[in-house]
Amino acid sequence: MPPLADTQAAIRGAVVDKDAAAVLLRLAGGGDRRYRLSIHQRHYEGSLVKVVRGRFSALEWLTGSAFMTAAATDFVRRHPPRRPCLAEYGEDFPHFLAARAGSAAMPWLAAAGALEWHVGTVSVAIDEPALGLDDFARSATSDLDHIVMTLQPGLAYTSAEWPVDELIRLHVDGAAPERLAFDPENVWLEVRGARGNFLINRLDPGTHSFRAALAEGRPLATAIGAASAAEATFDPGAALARLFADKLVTAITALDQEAIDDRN
Amino acid sequence: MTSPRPATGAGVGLRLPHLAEVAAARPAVAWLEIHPENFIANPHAAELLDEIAAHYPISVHTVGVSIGSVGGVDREHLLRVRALIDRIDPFSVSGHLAWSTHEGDYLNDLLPLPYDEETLALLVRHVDEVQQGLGRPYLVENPSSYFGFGASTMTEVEFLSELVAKSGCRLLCDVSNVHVSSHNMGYDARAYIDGLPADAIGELHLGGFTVEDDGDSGATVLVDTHSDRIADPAWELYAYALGRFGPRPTLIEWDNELPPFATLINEAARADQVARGVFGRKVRHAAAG
Repeated sequence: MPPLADTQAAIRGAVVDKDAAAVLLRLAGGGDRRYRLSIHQRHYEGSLVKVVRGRFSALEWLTGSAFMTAAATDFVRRHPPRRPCLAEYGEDFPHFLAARAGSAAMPWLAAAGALEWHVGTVSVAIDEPALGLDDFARSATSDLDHIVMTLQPGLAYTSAEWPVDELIRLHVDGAAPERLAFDPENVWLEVRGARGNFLINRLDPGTHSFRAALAEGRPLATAIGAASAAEATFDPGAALARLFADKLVTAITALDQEAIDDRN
Repeated sequence: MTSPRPATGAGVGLRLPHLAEVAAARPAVAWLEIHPENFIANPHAAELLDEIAAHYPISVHTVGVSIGSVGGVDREHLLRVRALIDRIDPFSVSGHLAWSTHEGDYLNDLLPLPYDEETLALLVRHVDEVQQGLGRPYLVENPSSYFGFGASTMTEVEFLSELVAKSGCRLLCDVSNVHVSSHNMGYDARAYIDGLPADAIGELHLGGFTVEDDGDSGATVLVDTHSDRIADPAWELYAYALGRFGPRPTLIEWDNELPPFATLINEAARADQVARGVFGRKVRHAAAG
């Protein structure tokens, strides 16, 4: 291994894994070298733990700062960021937190964290001009198998076996009751946000499947199929009308068969 | 888009908590500096930045480009930075003499490098790649240092001078980093300033630091935290640097324990005051070179 590569691997071990032995021998100058190295160790840990705690403030409110800080500290050591934009860091944290000892009594943690991640992501989106149902009528010249709709960028779809949207609302409102009856309940959620604001809407299973499939870039016919499979009474016409009424569609594209095959 | 407006005098770092305030109130400040990594994955912030950039000269200071990593420059990140700077047309784009990525992990710190021929060759290649990728000159900033390496064969000033000569890059002299590093590494800060190639200096930085006990050594170590006002010794070194380099756009950096924006403006006013003391009232501002 070339010397510089060796040195950087050793520093990475010291900073992330707190294993300073390999690097201390390479250092020169300065005073207490172990302490000097700890400045970088502290910065790595402190800055990233702050990022994780800030991104999941509802999880911290729910689990307590000591539990959350310990989990975040462990997380940043085991899962360093993979990109320099820290707004993109931490999506895996809810599952990491839920798998820790002490989380078993909170089976809703992963779902609550996933929802909070979506809230943070859509809240910084920007709405685009929405198309109306008239636009769809004008553009829908090809069959539904070949139509793809682009939805607003600030949308996310998630489902949970617990009503975790209630937890996020309680956190945002800052109005936690003394005790909360929290029982399992399947929820299908749409998170919509833009420019610092967000809404969490409960959807029926069919509408959720329909909109989630469209958001993933699936053709309209595929989305209708998924929705009908999720809910036998799904009404495609009414769902389309609501989609446009909610100003969620920003583009309608007719694709050729090859592009459709790629998306299915 | 028109060519970038030259920056004059002292500017301040624009951080996300101040973004809405600056977009709405447009406070009087000569120019603003941003970290592109704060905006690339935040469309709402980027939208506000686009508005702000129409009214202020902008300096883009990268913190994630990592020109010192043996694993190479992250080309995807470079493309994202390029897209941002193509929109806001900054007067300056800069980064650090440091590394921060290792085998795909981003370590969120500016980690030190040994100064030898291997590192120099790597940096020359990467600076060229960054300048080609961004389509603009790239200014390289001197780091704040807490230790050196036994493998180093040249001083930091020698290394930076060679980097300028071999890569064609320019330099960003962080005056506070010179003060911090000179204290921590035991060298003469003014001799460091004297050794830098003055013509290559395109921008100056000033930031606050904290003083800590240096482990059990009985001495102190200065830590470049950007969490406080500029300390008096850094102001004195700034005046010396202006005398050596001539007028240069100067940034007030404050990233942690962020104060009200007005505090940053007051620090910028002090930097302008120091510049007036050095150059006299007639030479009040300097264009970015």
